[in-house]
Amino acid sequence: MLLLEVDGVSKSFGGIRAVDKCTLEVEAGSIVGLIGPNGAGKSTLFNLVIGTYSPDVGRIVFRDERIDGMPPYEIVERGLAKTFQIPREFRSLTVLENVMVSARGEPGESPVLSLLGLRRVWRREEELERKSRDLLALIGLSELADEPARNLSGGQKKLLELARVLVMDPSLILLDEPVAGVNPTLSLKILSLIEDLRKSGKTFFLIEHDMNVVFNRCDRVIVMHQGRVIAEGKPAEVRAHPAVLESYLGG
Amino acid sequence: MVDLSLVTDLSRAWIAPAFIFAIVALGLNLQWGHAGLFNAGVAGFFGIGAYIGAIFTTPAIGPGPGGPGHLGLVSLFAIFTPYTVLIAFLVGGIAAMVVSGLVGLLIAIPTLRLRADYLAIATLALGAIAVESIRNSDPVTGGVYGILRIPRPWEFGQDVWRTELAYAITAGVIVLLVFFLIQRATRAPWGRALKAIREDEDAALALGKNTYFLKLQAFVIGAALMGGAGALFAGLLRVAVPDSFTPALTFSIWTMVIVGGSGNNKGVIVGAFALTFLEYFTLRAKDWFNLSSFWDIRIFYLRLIAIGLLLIALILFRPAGLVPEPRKVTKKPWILFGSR
Ligand SMILES: Nc1ncnc2c1ncn2[C@@H]1O[C@H](COP(=O)(O)OP(=O)(O)OP(=O)(O)O)[C@@H](O)[C@H]1O
Ligand SMILES: [Mg+2]
Repeated sequence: MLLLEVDGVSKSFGGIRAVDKCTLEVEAGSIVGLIGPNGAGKSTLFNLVIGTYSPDVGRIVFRDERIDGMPPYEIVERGLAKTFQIPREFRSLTVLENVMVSARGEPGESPVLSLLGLRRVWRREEELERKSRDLLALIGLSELADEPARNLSGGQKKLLELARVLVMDPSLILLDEPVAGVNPTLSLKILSLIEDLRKSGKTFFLIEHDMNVVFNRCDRVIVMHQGRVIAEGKPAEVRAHPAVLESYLGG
Repeated sequence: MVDLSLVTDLSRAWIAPAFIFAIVALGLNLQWGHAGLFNAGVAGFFGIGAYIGAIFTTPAIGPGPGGPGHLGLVSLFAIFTPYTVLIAFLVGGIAAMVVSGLVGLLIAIPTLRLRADYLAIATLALGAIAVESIRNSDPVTGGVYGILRIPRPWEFGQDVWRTELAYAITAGVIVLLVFFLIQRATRAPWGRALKAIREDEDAALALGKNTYFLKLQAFVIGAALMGGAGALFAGLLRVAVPDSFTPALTFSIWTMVIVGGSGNNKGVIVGAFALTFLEYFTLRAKDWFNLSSFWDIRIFYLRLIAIGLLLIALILFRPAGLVPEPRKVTKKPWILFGSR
């Protein structure tokens, strides 16, 4: 089943065509890698999918519904989530609060419901705290749960990014270089976590420059260059593709 | 026996203004301290509230020797005699909140979608427009003469100290109520989401927060609080004149928030008390210390210098204010409703 369809999408910034008539598909339950040289338009494509930018032309379809032009909160509500390439933590909130604030549909985020002090609102909050602490344990940040997020190291902030999207319980997760700057043991752990989550039915679409990750972990690989998709297919096919060798892999 | 004139003076010139400005500071703190929304027109929202409150409580006077008149909606409540003024005061206070909140909404709807600078510009303009409109709407606001002899819900005739103390206590009770509500809402997930917006709005947006709606809520509630406080202020001064609502007032409220501790609801109340005390002190110092007439005028300028120095010292040594923002935002409140 097709989960995400990007169809002829373009996006320009002034004179720069960051994404140029891009067309691609993501199957439900797969791990799809997106690779390409710096400035190829990969992060911009992710921003288009999540609604941060809206496309100049083209369609983006998620679960048979057009989502292009929707504000991000409506897209997130439908089960998409994205991490930032460069972490965007809420600096003065604690690490735990950074995770908790990312959850979807918290009733306590309405001022009226929070004033009423309904027990069910706070039960939700307690459940969310438990879930968030579990996620922090999973990525090894339990110790730092009550520290302000600004105190984290660069790699720890990348991990926090991951916890923030996982708490949203999305069905399609866009990861912008999830293991860049993360130490090898932890990045192995994250990759096996991704594998486990995929088995439980989640779909991943990830940007990565580490070819070991891309060619060993992804079911399919899409290659972008200058805003266009220049190749796609199974890792082995893409690896041997002449255009990919020339523009990206070298060789 | 205690000197009752001191009770009168403290209530009227320090405690009651401190409570009233504390409400304004809580409103600004909700906007700026929690949600990161800049408001350069605090005095405008406050002034609108003051006039709405005054129009509800003060008997109408027709145009005549005393100057132009105003609506005097108090006559609507004559059926509640002898509680006419009390009812007018309550209704006027609520109306002041509603009108200021609506004005806030009208400003926020177009500007909160844009970059942060636009809200600053629009509120700055509101501050100026509000005062000028008040000055030029003679039949409703009394124009430059203002609205005079504004009554209070509790008057004790010759016992001036009782009248003043009662009003200060009224303001204090309202501060407690407002503080309780705001503290509760900002410690809930709502406050956490506002702080996320303050820290990084684009990130909050991409994580699926309806940042526009959340900002709108914080801004409008803050503006409504400023309006309600304005109505209380009109009752305190017993007059409402356009000159009370200048940008200098906006500046004072900002100082209270920054000095007290932006983002901390308790802190900004401390800030309101500290800054109003400074003002009270400079007003009374010449009597207390038998200062020569040389200091009479100069002390007011010294106060401004003192505030400037205080701000500089604070920025250097306590940048987060006297009572800094708590590290953890969310706290479990008392559960009011619902079963286990
Ligand atoms: N907000 C923006 N304003 C202007 N130009 C932008 C903006 N966002 C991206 N671009 C431009 O679009 C192009 C694609 O950028 P993008 O971040 O999508 O690349 P990328 O493939 O993610 O690269 P990298 O691998 O280095 O992360 C670049 O030339 C960049 O300068
Ligand atoms: Mg990128």
